Amino acid sequence: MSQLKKFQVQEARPLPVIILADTSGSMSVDGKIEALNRGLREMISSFSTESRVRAEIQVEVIAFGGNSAEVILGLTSAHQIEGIGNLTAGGMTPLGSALRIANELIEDKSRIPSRAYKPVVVLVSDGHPNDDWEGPFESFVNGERTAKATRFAMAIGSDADMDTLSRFANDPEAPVFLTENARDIHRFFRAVTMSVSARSQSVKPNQSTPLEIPADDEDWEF
Amino acid sequence: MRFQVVGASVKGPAHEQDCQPNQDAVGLANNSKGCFAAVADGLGSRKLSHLGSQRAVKIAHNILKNRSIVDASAMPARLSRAWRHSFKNDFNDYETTCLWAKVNASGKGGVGQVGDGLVLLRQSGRFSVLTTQKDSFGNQTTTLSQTESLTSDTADIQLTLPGDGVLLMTDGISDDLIPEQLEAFFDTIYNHQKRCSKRRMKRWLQAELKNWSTPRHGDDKTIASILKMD
Repeated sequence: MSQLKKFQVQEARPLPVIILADTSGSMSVDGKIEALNRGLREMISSFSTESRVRAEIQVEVIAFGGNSAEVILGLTSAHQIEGIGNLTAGGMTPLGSALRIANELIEDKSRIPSRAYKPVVVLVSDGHPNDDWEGPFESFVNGERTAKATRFAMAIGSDADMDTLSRFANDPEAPVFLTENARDIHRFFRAVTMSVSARSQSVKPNQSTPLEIPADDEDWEF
Repeated sequence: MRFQVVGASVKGPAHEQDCQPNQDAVGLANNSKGCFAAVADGLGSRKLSHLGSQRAVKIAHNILKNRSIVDASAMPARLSRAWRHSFKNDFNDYETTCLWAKVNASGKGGVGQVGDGLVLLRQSGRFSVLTTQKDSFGNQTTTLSQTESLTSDTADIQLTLPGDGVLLMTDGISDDLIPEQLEAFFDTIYNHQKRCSKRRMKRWLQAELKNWSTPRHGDDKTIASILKMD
């Protein structure tokens, strides 16, 4: 019988994935919010069925629309997520509020311990932030722990704030993914899913894996 | 004074599954002049890091084997230079961490680490953790090649009482240990060593590491100890 087992942590090492989803009014047109909902659901479903993982993939979804951001799904192990409600679009683009919530989460060692693999933060937006966002943005990209997170970004349409999204994305292998149509939202989430899955299956899931946008799949409809 | 030097290294399930080599390495030496132990963890992303980790423990031994007095604080830079030089500065595929300890016959020596992993100490009966606590996340490591630009954890040590010693381990072990249980972990290793020959102790450690219980663990696991027995 093992004499050292009692000193070993009995929980898998977490790999947090935090989604910052723009749910402002402009997301309600051209099928964008529907594509976002489908992309999110498929990503979570894929994570929950991964069998070769070396980490416990956890997901938090923060929606920013209306007057402030809202946690739609608190940090939860993917295999324990039974479903996620549909995001609805409306109101402003309060990115600063979303970044404050994400910042508090990542800096909180009781929720994301030091043995966790570095988090993946995904920002999806089709517009310009219009709350008090500059301070939270600087805190997030320069924070003690947040700066170490892998950050992916997707810009939807020509109204997206490319400058801010480009500064947000910090993976040299994955610059901001720019799309003009909603179906690409799905492709982007597939790429994020594959990148996180590849990381979670490696011996050291902190190693960066490229964000490879899959070819447009013809059977995709919405 | 009698010291016992033991170590064990096992390939993690992820490398077993992918038919990859154990990227960790362990080096041990013991003679009438003193004891040496080192462990190293080759970076998973570098294709020849298993050779880099093996080279690191050998070079650490070569540097320390003829020294009765160890200057622990100078060791990281010295080891880094020698390791990089051994690859003619073309070391990118060989990146590794390294943790080492050396004591002379009277128990006086030094200990240090570059990169992830954990060093536990007991001196004059008092337990301590050498390794600086991480503020960020797992597996974000400093490597031997970066030593000269970054701070390393080092200490001069003196092992005087039975029960004193040094435990070195790679992060495949240390990241899965309950932080509040480190002293009890050290004591369990020591108490087992008291009842075992060196060969049986090594087999016991290998079995414990092979039967690691943390869910979904995948990393290689290596531990080495210098313990004062009487």
